[in-house]
Amino acid sequence: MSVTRGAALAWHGIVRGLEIFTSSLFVALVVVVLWGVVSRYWPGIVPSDWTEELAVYLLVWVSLLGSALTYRSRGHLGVDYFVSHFDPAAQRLTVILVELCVLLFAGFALCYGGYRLVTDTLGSGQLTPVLQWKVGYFYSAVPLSGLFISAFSIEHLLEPAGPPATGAAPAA
Amino acid sequence: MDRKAVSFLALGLLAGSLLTTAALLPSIRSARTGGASGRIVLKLGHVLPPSHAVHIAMEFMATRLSELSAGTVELQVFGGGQLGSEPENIEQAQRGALAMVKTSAAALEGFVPDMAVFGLPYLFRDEEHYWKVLLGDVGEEILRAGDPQGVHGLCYYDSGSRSFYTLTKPILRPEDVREMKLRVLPSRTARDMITLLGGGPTPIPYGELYTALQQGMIDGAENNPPSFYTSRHYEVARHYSLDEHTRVPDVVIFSTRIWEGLTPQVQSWIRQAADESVAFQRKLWREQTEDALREVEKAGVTIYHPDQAAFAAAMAPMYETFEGTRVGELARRVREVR
Repeated sequence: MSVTRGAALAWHGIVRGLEIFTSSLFVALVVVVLWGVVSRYWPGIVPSDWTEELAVYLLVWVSLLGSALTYRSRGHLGVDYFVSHFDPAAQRLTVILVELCVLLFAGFALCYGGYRLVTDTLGSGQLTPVLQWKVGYFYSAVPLSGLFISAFSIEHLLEPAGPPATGAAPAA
Repeated sequence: MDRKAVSFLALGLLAGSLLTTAALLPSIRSARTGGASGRIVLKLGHVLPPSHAVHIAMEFMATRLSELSAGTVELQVFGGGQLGSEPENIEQAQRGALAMVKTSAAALEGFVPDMAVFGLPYLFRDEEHYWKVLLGDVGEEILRAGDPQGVHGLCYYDSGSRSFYTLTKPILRPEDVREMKLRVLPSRTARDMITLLGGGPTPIPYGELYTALQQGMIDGAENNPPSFYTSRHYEVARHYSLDEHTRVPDVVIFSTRIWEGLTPQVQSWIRQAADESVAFQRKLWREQTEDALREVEKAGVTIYHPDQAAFAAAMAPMYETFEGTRVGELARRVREVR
Protein backbone atom coordinates (compact mmCIF):
# COMPACT_ATOMS: atom_id res chain seq x y z
CA MET A 1 0.00 0.00 0.00
CA SER A 2 2.70 2.45 1.02
CA VAL A 3 4.75 1.50 -2.01
CA THR A 4 1.95 2.34 -4.42
CA ARG A 5 1.28 5.49 -2.46
CA GLY A 6 4.94 6.49 -2.74
CA ALA A 7 4.92 5.78 -6.47
CA ALA A 8 1.78 7.86 -6.90
CA LEU A 9 3.39 10.75 -5.03
CA ALA A 10 6.55 10.52 -7.14
CA TRP A 11 4.48 10.44 -10.31
CA HIS A 12 2.53 13.46 -9.14
CA GLY A 13 5.82 15.25 -8.51
CA ILE A 14 7.09 14.45 -12.00
CA VAL A 15 3.94 15.80 -13.62
CA ARG A 16 4.07 18.93 -11.48
CA GLY A 17 7.73 19.37 -12.46
CA LEU A 18 6.82 19.08 -16.14
CA GLU A 19 4.11 21.71 -15.69
CA ILE A 20 6.49 24.12 -14.00
CA PHE A 21 9.23 23.46 -16.58
CA THR A 22 6.89 24.06 -19.53
CA SER A 23 5.50 27.25 -17.96
CA SER A 24 9.00 28.61 -17.36
CA LEU A 25 9.94 27.86 -20.97
CA PHE A 26 6.91 29.92 -21.99
CA VAL A 27 7.97 32.79 -19.76
CA ALA A 28 11.46 32.57 -21.26
CA LEU A 29 9.94 32.64 -24.75
CA VAL A 30 8.05 35.86 -24.00
CA VAL A 31 11.14 37.50 -22.48
CA VAL A 32 13.39 36.47 -25.40
CA VAL A 33 10.97 37.81 -28.03
CA LEU A 34 10.49 41.07 -26.11
CA TRP A 35 14.23 41.55 -25.82
CA GLY A 36 14.58 40.88 -29.53
CA VAL A 37 12.13 43.67 -30.32
CA VAL A 38 13.58 46.13 -27.81
CA SER A 39 17.16 45.56 -28.96
CA ARG A 40 16.17 46.24 -32.56
CA TYR A 41 14.54 49.58 -31.92
CA TRP A 42 16.32 50.98 -28.86
CA PRO A 43 18.99 53.37 -30.03
CA GLY A 44 22.52 52.49 -29.04
CA ILE A 45 21.90 48.77 -28.50
CA VAL A 46 23.31 46.29 -30.98
CA PRO A 47 20.35 44.23 -32.25
CA SER A 48 20.30 40.77 -30.71
CA ASP A 49 20.68 38.18 -33.39
CA TRP A 50 20.22 35.08 -31.28
CA THR A 51 16.69 35.86 -30.11
CA GLU A 52 14.87 34.67 -33.18
CA GLU A 53 16.72 31.38 -33.28
CA LEU A 54 16.17 30.68 -29.59
CA ALA A 55 12.50 31.70 -29.83
CA VAL A 56 11.88 29.14 -32.57
CA TYR A 57 13.28 26.29 -30.50
CA LEU A 58 11.54 27.48 -27.31
CA LEU A 59 8.25 27.45 -29.19
CA VAL A 60 8.96 23.88 -30.32
CA TRP A 61 9.60 22.80 -26.74
CA VAL A 62 6.57 24.60 -25.32
CA SER A 63 4.32 23.09 -28.01
CA LEU A 64 5.54 19.51 -27.67
CA LEU A 65 5.66 19.39 -23.86
CA GLY A 66 2.44 21.40 -23.63
CA SER A 67 0.76 18.97 -25.99
CA ALA A 68 1.68 16.10 -23.64
CA LEU A 69 0.24 17.97 -20.65
CA THR A 70 -2.90 18.81 -22.60
CA TYR A 71 -3.24 15.14 -23.45
CA ARG A 72 -3.22 14.28 -19.77
CA SER A 73 -6.08 16.68 -19.07
CA ARG A 74 -7.89 15.42 -22.21
CA GLY A 75 -7.80 18.87 -23.74
CA HIS A 76 -7.05 17.87 -27.33
CA LEU A 77 -9.62 18.29 -30.06
CA GLY A 78 -11.63 15.23 -31.06
CA VAL A 79 -14.70 14.46 -33.11
CA ASP A 80 -17.04 12.90 -30.54
CA TYR A 81 -20.34 13.44 -32.33
CA PHE A 82 -20.80 9.82 -33.43
CA VAL A 83 -19.27 8.28 -30.34
CA SER A 84 -21.62 10.27 -28.11
CA HIS A 85 -24.55 8.52 -29.78
CA PHE A 86 -23.06 5.09 -28.98
CA ASP A 87 -24.20 2.72 -26.30
CA PRO A 88 -22.23 3.33 -23.02
CA ALA A 89 -20.44 -0.02 -23.26
CA ALA A 90 -19.31 0.78 -26.84
CA GLN A 91 -18.22 4.24 -25.68
CA ARG A 92 -15.92 2.72 -23.07
CA LEU A 93 -14.41 0.37 -25.65
CA THR A 94 -13.90 3.30 -28.07
CA VAL A 95 -12.01 5.23 -25.44
CA ILE A 96 -9.72 2.25 -24.83
CA LEU A 97 -9.11 1.80 -28.58
CA VAL A 98 -8.32 5.51 -28.96
CA GLU A 99 -5.86 5.34 -26.08
CA LEU A 100 -4.16 2.34 -27.70
CA CYS A 101 -3.86 4.19 -31.02
CA VAL A 102 -2.29 7.17 -29.26
CA LEU A 103 0.05 4.87 -27.37
CA LEU A 104 1.12 3.26 -30.64
CA PHE A 105 1.75 6.63 -32.29
CA ALA A 106 3.55 8.11 -29.29
CA GLY A 107 5.70 5.02 -28.90
CA PHE A 108 6.58 4.47 -32.54
CA ALA A 109 6.57 7.92 -34.17
CA LEU A 110 7.53 10.17 -31.26
CA CYS A 111 9.71 7.96 -29.03
CA TYR A 112 11.39 5.70 -31.61
CA GLY A 113 11.30 8.17 -34.54
CA GLY A 114 12.29 11.03 -32.26
CA TYR A 115 15.18 8.99 -30.85
CA ARG A 116 16.40 8.33 -34.40
CA LEU A 117 16.03 12.04 -35.22
CA VAL A 118 18.12 13.05 -32.20
CA THR A 119 20.89 10.50 -32.73
CA ASP A 120 21.10 11.20 -36.49
CA THR A 121 21.25 14.95 -35.94
CA LEU A 122 23.79 14.69 -33.13
CA GLY A 123 25.83 12.34 -35.31
CA SER A 124 25.94 14.83 -38.16
CA GLY A 125 27.12 17.52 -35.74
CA GLN A 126 24.71 20.13 -37.12
CA LEU A 127 25.01 23.50 -35.37
CA THR A 128 22.54 26.38 -35.20
CA PRO A 129 23.85 29.33 -37.24
CA VAL A 130 24.02 31.97 -34.52
CA LEU A 131 24.19 30.29 -31.11
CA GLN A 132 26.36 27.44 -32.44
CA TRP A 133 24.48 24.94 -30.28
CA LYS A 134 23.93 21.37 -31.36
CA VAL A 135 20.58 21.07 -33.11
CA GLY A 136 20.23 17.47 -31.90
CA TYR A 137 19.78 18.63 -28.29
CA PHE A 138 16.91 20.89 -29.34
CA TYR A 139 15.26 17.96 -31.11
CA SER A 140 15.22 15.87 -27.93
CA ALA A 141 11.86 17.54 -27.21
CA VAL A 142 10.29 15.01 -29.61
CA PRO A 143 11.16 11.74 -27.81
CA LEU A 144 10.61 13.45 -24.45
CA SER A 145 7.11 14.48 -25.46
CA GLY A 146 6.47 10.96 -26.80
CA LEU A 147 7.59 9.46 -23.49
CA PHE A 148 5.19 11.63 -21.50
CA ILE A 149 2.27 11.09 -23.89
CA SER A 150 2.79 7.30 -23.63
CA ALA A 151 2.91 7.54 -19.84
CA PHE A 152 -0.24 9.67 -19.72
CA SER A 153 -1.99 7.27 -22.06
CA ILE A 154 -1.15 4.34 -19.79
CA GLU A 155 -2.32 6.44 -16.84
CA HIS A 156 -5.66 7.00 -18.58
CA LEU A 157 -6.02 3.27 -19.24
CA LEU A 158 -5.24 2.38 -15.63
CA GLU A 159 -7.64 4.86 -14.09
CA PRO A 160 -9.50 2.91 -11.36
CA ALA A 161 -13.02 4.07 -12.27
CA GLY A 162 -12.44 3.03 -15.86
CA PRO A 163 -12.05 5.63 -18.57
CA PRO A 164 -14.89 8.15 -18.50
CA ALA A 165 -17.17 8.55 -21.49
CA THR A 166 -15.73 10.87 -24.15
CA GLY A 167 -18.57 13.36 -23.90
CA ALA A 168 -17.66 14.01 -20.26
CA ALA A 169 -14.16 15.25 -21.09
CA PRO A 170 -13.51 18.74 -19.77
CA ALA A 171 -13.03 21.25 -22.54
CA ALA A 172 -9.66 22.64 -21.50
CA MET B 1 -31.50 -3.89 -34.05
CA ASP B 2 -30.97 -2.26 -30.70
CA ARG B 3 -28.67 0.61 -30.00
CA LYS B 4 -26.00 -1.58 -28.43
CA ALA B 5 -25.66 -3.80 -31.50
CA VAL B 6 -25.51 -0.84 -33.90
CA SER B 7 -22.87 0.87 -31.75
CA PHE B 8 -20.62 -2.18 -31.72
CA LEU B 9 -21.16 -2.76 -35.43
CA ALA B 10 -20.06 0.80 -36.22
CA LEU B 11 -17.07 0.52 -33.92
CA GLY B 12 -16.12 -2.83 -35.41
CA LEU B 13 -16.28 -1.49 -38.95
CA LEU B 14 -14.11 1.49 -38.01
CA ALA B 15 -11.50 -0.61 -36.23
CA GLY B 16 -11.55 -3.13 -39.07
CA SER B 17 -10.90 -0.52 -41.75
CA LEU B 18 -8.06 0.92 -39.68
CA LEU B 19 -6.42 -2.49 -39.32
CA THR B 20 -6.82 -3.23 -43.03
CA THR B 21 -5.14 0.05 -43.94
CA ALA B 22 -2.27 -0.75 -41.59
CA ALA B 23 -1.89 -4.21 -43.10
CA LEU B 24 -1.78 -2.81 -46.63
CA LEU B 25 0.86 -0.17 -45.84
CA PRO B 26 3.92 -2.35 -46.61
CA SER B 27 2.61 -3.24 -50.07
CA ILE B 28 1.91 0.43 -50.88
CA ARG B 29 5.43 1.30 -49.83
CA SER B 30 7.05 -1.41 -51.96
CA ALA B 31 5.00 -0.33 -54.99
CA ARG B 32 6.32 3.20 -54.60
CA THR B 33 10.02 2.43 -54.23
CA GLY B 34 10.14 -0.50 -56.64
CA GLY B 35 8.53 1.58 -59.33
CA ALA B 36 7.34 0.36 -62.68
CA SER B 37 10.23 -0.72 -64.96
CA GLY B 38 12.90 0.87 -62.71
CA ARG B 39 12.07 4.48 -63.55
CA ILE B 40 13.78 6.86 -61.13
CA VAL B 41 12.20 10.10 -59.97
CA LEU B 42 14.46 12.56 -58.15
CA LYS B 43 13.15 15.65 -56.36
CA LEU B 44 15.15 18.84 -56.00
CA GLY B 45 14.22 21.62 -53.55
CA HIS B 46 15.39 25.23 -53.45
CA VAL B 47 14.11 28.64 -52.33
CA LEU B 48 14.65 30.88 -55.38
CA PRO B 49 11.98 32.21 -57.76
CA PRO B 50 11.50 30.42 -61.12
CA SER B 51 12.87 33.42 -63.05
CA HIS B 52 16.23 33.04 -61.29
CA ALA B 53 19.27 31.90 -63.31
CA VAL B 54 19.83 29.05 -60.86
CA HIS B 55 16.32 27.71 -61.34
CA ILE B 56 16.60 27.90 -65.12
CA ALA B 57 19.94 26.09 -64.95
CA MET B 58 18.43 23.29 -62.89
CA GLU B 59 15.57 22.96 -65.36
CA PHE B 60 18.30 22.63 -67.98
CA MET B 61 19.93 19.94 -65.84
CA ALA B 62 16.60 18.09 -65.68
CA THR B 63 16.24 18.21 -69.47
CA ARG B 64 19.81 16.97 -70.01
CA LEU B 65 19.36 14.18 -67.48
CA SER B 66 16.20 13.04 -69.20
CA GLU B 67 17.98 13.07 -72.59
CA LEU B 68 21.06 11.22 -71.31
CA SER B 69 19.01 8.53 -69.60
CA ALA B 70 16.50 8.21 -72.45
CA GLY B 71 13.72 9.21 -70.08
CA THR B 72 14.46 6.68 -67.33
CA VAL B 73 15.62 9.29 -64.80
CA GLU B 74 13.33 12.20 -64.10
CA LEU B 75 14.37 15.27 -62.11
CA GLN B 76 11.57 17.40 -60.63
CA VAL B 77 12.58 20.90 -59.51
CA PHE B 78 10.54 22.53 -56.74
CA GLY B 79 11.46 26.20 -56.36
CA GLY B 80 10.32 29.06 -54.19
CA GLY B 81 10.73 27.17 -50.93
CA GLN B 82 7.83 24.80 -51.63
CA LEU B 83 9.66 22.01 -49.83
CA GLY B 84 10.85 24.20 -46.95
CA SER B 85 13.73 26.50 -46.08
CA GLU B 86 17.34 25.70 -46.98
CA PRO B 87 18.29 24.14 -43.61
CA GLU B 88 15.07 22.09 -43.66
CA ASN B 89 15.81 20.85 -47.19
CA ILE B 90 19.35 19.88 -46.15
CA GLU B 91 18.00 17.88 -43.19
CA GLN B 92 15.57 16.11 -45.51
CA ALA B 93 18.44 15.21 -47.84
CA GLN B 94 20.49 13.87 -44.91
CA ARG B 95 17.64 11.50 -44.03
CA GLY B 96 16.99 10.45 -47.62
CA ALA B 97 13.58 12.13 -47.84
CA LEU B 98 14.72 14.48 -50.59
CA ALA B 99 17.20 13.58 -53.32
CA MET B 100 18.72 16.96 -54.17
CA VAL B 101 18.96 20.46 -52.71
CA LYS B 102 20.28 23.72 -54.07
CA THR B 103 21.50 25.80 -51.16
CA SER B 104 23.73 28.73 -50.44
CA ALA B 105 27.11 27.67 -49.04
CA ALA B 106 26.28 29.93 -46.07
CA ALA B 107 23.31 27.78 -45.08
CA LEU B 108 25.53 24.68 -45.32
CA GLU B 109 27.95 26.07 -42.72
CA GLY B 110 25.93 24.53 -39.87
CA PHE B 111 26.28 21.09 -41.48
CA VAL B 112 29.66 21.25 -43.21
CA PRO B 113 31.98 23.58 -41.26
CA ASP B 114 34.42 23.82 -44.20
CA MET B 115 31.86 25.90 -46.11
CA ALA B 116 32.57 28.78 -43.72
CA VAL B 117 35.61 29.60 -45.83
CA PHE B 118 33.36 31.15 -48.50
CA GLY B 119 32.03 33.63 -45.95
CA LEU B 120 35.45 35.26 -45.63
CA PRO B 121 35.55 38.69 -47.27
CA TYR B 122 37.80 39.29 -50.27
CA LEU B 123 38.94 35.66 -50.32
CA PHE B 124 39.07 35.68 -54.11
CA ARG B 125 41.04 38.17 -56.18
CA ASP B 126 38.54 38.22 -59.02
CA GLU B 127 36.01 36.13 -60.84
CA GLU B 128 38.65 34.14 -62.70
CA HIS B 129 40.37 33.18 -59.44
CA TYR B 130 36.97 32.30 -57.94
CA TRP B 131 36.13 29.77 -60.66
CA LYS B 132 39.65 28.38 -60.77
CA VAL B 133 39.29 27.52 -57.08
CA LEU B 134 35.75 26.14 -57.34
CA LEU B 135 36.57 23.87 -60.26
CA GLY B 136 40.02 22.99 -58.87
CA ASP B 137 41.26 20.68 -56.13
CA VAL B 138 40.30 22.89 -53.18
CA GLY B 139 36.75 23.34 -54.44
CA GLU B 140 36.44 19.61 -54.99
CA GLU B 141 37.75 18.90 -51.49
CA ILE B 142 35.20 21.23 -49.88
CA LEU B 143 32.39 19.57 -51.85
CA ARG B 144 33.59 16.16 -50.59
CA ALA B 145 33.60 17.40 -47.00
CA GLY B 146 29.82 16.91 -46.96
CA ASP B 147 30.02 13.15 -47.53
CA PRO B 148 30.34 12.15 -43.86
CA GLN B 149 27.37 14.42 -43.07
CA GLY B 150 25.11 12.63 -45.55
CA VAL B 151 25.24 15.30 -48.25
CA HIS B 152 27.18 14.58 -51.42
CA GLY B 153 28.26 17.77 -53.17
CA LEU B 154 27.57 17.77 -56.92
CA CYS B 155 28.55 21.18 -58.23
CA TYR B 156 28.83 24.92 -57.55
CA TYR B 157 26.74 27.62 -59.15
CA ASP B 158 27.72 31.24 -59.58
CA SER B 159 26.07 33.46 -57.03
CA GLY B 160 28.11 36.53 -57.93
CA SER B 161 29.52 38.89 -55.35
CA ARG B 162 27.57 40.51 -52.56
CA SER B 163 27.51 44.26 -51.96
CA PHE B 164 25.79 46.59 -49.53
CA TYR B 165 22.62 48.49 -50.32
CA THR B 166 21.27 51.14 -48.00
CA LEU B 167 18.23 53.34 -47.47
CA THR B 168 19.54 56.85 -46.86
CA LYS B 169 23.31 57.01 -46.57
CA PRO B 170 25.54 55.19 -49.08
CA ILE B 171 28.42 53.06 -47.79
CA LEU B 172 31.51 54.49 -49.45
CA ARG B 173 34.16 53.74 -46.83
CA PRO B 174 34.39 50.94 -44.22
CA GLU B 175 33.75 53.57 -41.49
CA ASP B 176 30.30 54.22 -42.95
CA VAL B 177 29.13 50.83 -41.69
CA ARG B 178 29.59 51.95 -38.07
CA GLU B 179 26.29 52.23 -36.15
CA MET B 180 24.36 50.86 -39.12
CA LYS B 181 21.89 48.01 -38.71
CA LEU B 182 22.40 45.70 -41.65
CA ARG B 183 20.64 42.48 -42.51
CA VAL B 184 23.02 39.54 -42.96
CA LEU B 185 22.81 35.90 -43.96
CA PRO B 186 22.19 33.50 -41.09
CA SER B 187 25.85 32.52 -40.84
CA ARG B 188 28.53 33.06 -38.26
CA THR B 189 31.08 34.59 -40.61
CA ALA B 190 28.57 36.99 -42.17
CA ARG B 191 27.71 38.27 -38.68
CA ASP B 192 31.30 38.64 -37.57
CA MET B 193 32.12 40.70 -40.64
CA ILE B 194 29.56 43.41 -39.79
CA THR B 195 30.47 43.37 -36.09
CA LEU B 196 34.10 43.90 -37.04
CA LEU B 197 33.20 47.06 -38.96
CA GLY B 198 31.25 48.35 -35.95
CA GLY B 199 27.80 47.78 -37.40
CA GLY B 200 24.84 45.87 -35.97
CA PRO B 201 24.19 42.61 -37.84
CA THR B 202 20.44 42.01 -37.82
CA PRO B 203 19.11 38.61 -38.83
CA ILE B 204 15.86 38.98 -40.74
CA PRO B 205 14.27 36.18 -42.77
CA TYR B 206 14.63 36.90 -46.47
CA GLY B 207 10.87 37.01 -47.02
CA GLU B 208 10.40 39.75 -44.40
CA LEU B 209 13.28 41.87 -45.59
CA TYR B 210 11.31 44.11 -47.95
CA THR B 211 8.94 45.22 -45.19
CA ALA B 212 11.81 45.70 -42.76
CA LEU B 213 13.55 48.02 -45.24
CA GLN B 214 10.33 49.85 -46.04
CA GLN B 215 9.62 50.54 -42.38
CA GLY B 216 13.18 51.64 -41.75
CA MET B 217 13.69 48.94 -39.15
CA ILE B 218 17.18 48.42 -40.56
CA ASP B 219 19.49 50.71 -42.52
CA GLY B 220 20.33 48.29 -45.30
CA ALA B 221 21.23 44.82 -46.42
CA GLU B 222 23.65 43.11 -48.80
CA ASN B 223 23.19 40.89 -51.80
CA ASN B 224 24.23 40.24 -55.39
CA PRO B 225 22.75 42.38 -58.21
CA PRO B 226 20.19 39.85 -59.57
CA SER B 227 18.76 39.25 -56.10
CA PHE B 228 18.71 42.98 -55.36
CA TYR B 229 16.70 43.41 -58.54
CA THR B 230 14.30 40.41 -58.40
CA SER B 231 13.50 40.98 -54.71
CA ARG B 232 12.47 44.58 -55.61
CA HIS B 233 14.46 45.86 -52.64
CA TYR B 234 15.76 48.59 -54.96
CA GLU B 235 12.35 50.24 -54.68
CA VAL B 236 13.17 51.25 -51.11
CA ALA B 237 16.96 50.96 -50.85
CA ARG B 238 18.25 53.60 -53.25
CA HIS B 239 22.02 53.31 -52.74
CA TYR B 240 23.97 50.32 -54.04
CA SER B 241 27.67 50.29 -53.17
CA LEU B 242 29.52 47.67 -55.21
CA ASP B 243 32.18 46.80 -52.65
CA GLU B 244 31.82 43.09 -53.59
CA HIS B 245 32.86 41.91 -50.14
CA THR B 246 32.05 38.20 -50.45
CA ARG B 247 31.53 35.60 -53.12
CA VAL B 248 29.42 32.87 -51.55
CA PRO B 249 28.63 30.23 -54.17
CA ASP B 250 25.45 28.21 -54.42
CA VAL B 251 25.93 24.47 -54.04
CA VAL B 252 23.89 21.57 -55.41
CA ILE B 253 23.99 18.64 -53.02
CA PHE B 254 22.75 15.08 -53.33
CA SER B 255 21.46 12.90 -50.50
CA THR B 256 24.26 10.39 -49.79
CA ARG B 257 21.68 7.76 -48.81
CA ILE B 258 19.94 7.98 -52.18
CA TRP B 259 23.21 8.45 -54.11
CA GLU B 260 24.62 5.17 -52.83
CA GLY B 261 21.51 3.32 -54.01
CA LEU B 262 21.99 4.43 -57.62
CA THR B 263 23.85 2.45 -60.26
CA PRO B 264 27.23 3.85 -61.46
CA GLN B 265 25.62 4.50 -64.84
CA VAL B 266 22.90 6.72 -63.34
CA GLN B 267 25.48 8.45 -61.13
CA SER B 268 27.59 9.34 -64.16
CA TRP B 269 24.53 10.71 -66.01
CA ILE B 270 23.72 12.92 -63.04
CA ARG B 271 27.31 14.14 -62.85
CA GLN B 272 27.42 14.95 -66.54
CA ALA B 273 24.07 16.78 -66.47
CA ALA B 274 25.19 18.77 -63.41
CA ASP B 275 28.53 19.72 -64.99
CA GLU B 276 26.83 20.85 -68.19
CA SER B 277 24.36 22.97 -66.23
CA VAL B 278 27.24 24.80 -64.50
CA ALA B 279 28.57 26.29 -67.74
CA PHE B 280 25.02 27.18 -68.75
CA GLN B 281 24.30 28.82 -65.39
CA ARG B 282 27.51 30.91 -65.41
CA LYS B 283 26.63 32.41 -68.76
CA LEU B 284 23.06 33.10 -67.69
CA TRP B 285 24.23 34.62 -64.41
CA ARG B 286 26.54 37.07 -66.16
CA GLU B 287 23.67 38.21 -68.37
CA GLN B 288 21.29 38.58 -65.43
CA THR B 289 23.86 40.57 -63.45
CA GLU B 290 24.30 43.05 -66.29
CA ASP B 291 20.54 43.29 -66.79
CA ALA B 292 19.91 43.80 -63.08
CA LEU B 293 22.45 46.62 -62.75
CA ARG B 294 21.04 48.32 -65.83
CA GLU B 295 17.46 47.99 -64.62
CA VAL B 296 18.04 49.26 -61.07
CA GLU B 297 19.96 52.20 -62.43
CA LYS B 298 17.08 52.94 -64.76
CA ALA B 299 14.76 52.80 -61.74
CA GLY B 300 16.76 55.61 -60.13
CA VAL B 301 19.14 53.70 -57.84
CA THR B 302 22.56 55.30 -57.45
CA ILE B 303 25.36 52.80 -57.99
CA TYR B 304 28.71 53.47 -56.30
CA HIS B 305 32.09 51.88 -56.85
CA PRO B 306 33.88 52.30 -53.51
CA ASP B 307 37.58 51.53 -53.03
CA GLN B 308 37.59 47.78 -52.40
CA ALA B 309 41.12 47.76 -51.01
CA ALA B 310 39.99 49.89 -48.06
CA PHE B 311 37.22 47.39 -47.24
CA ALA B 312 39.60 44.46 -47.64
CA ALA B 313 42.05 46.07 -45.21
CA ALA B 314 39.31 46.78 -42.66
CA MET B 315 38.03 43.21 -42.82
CA ALA B 316 41.45 41.54 -42.82
CA PRO B 317 41.40 40.81 -39.03
CA MET B 318 38.75 38.16 -39.74
CA TYR B 319 41.47 35.94 -41.14
CA GLU B 320 43.37 36.10 -37.86
CA THR B 321 40.43 34.62 -35.92
CA PHE B 322 40.56 31.58 -38.17
CA GLU B 323 44.31 31.12 -37.98
CA GLY B 324 45.34 27.60 -37.06
CA THR B 325 41.87 26.20 -37.80
CA ARG B 326 40.76 24.05 -40.70
CA VAL B 327 38.95 27.01 -42.28
CA GLY B 328 42.08 29.16 -41.96
CA GLU B 329 44.11 26.45 -43.66
CA LEU B 330 41.57 26.25 -46.51
CA ALA B 331 41.63 30.05 -46.89
CA ARG B 332 45.42 29.97 -47.20
CA ARG B 333 45.25 27.27 -49.88
CA VAL B 334 42.53 29.16 -51.76
CA ARG B 335 44.73 32.23 -51.88
CA GLU B 336 47.68 30.21 -53.14
CA VAL B 337 45.76 29.16 -56.25
CA ARG B 338 47.16 31.06 -59.18
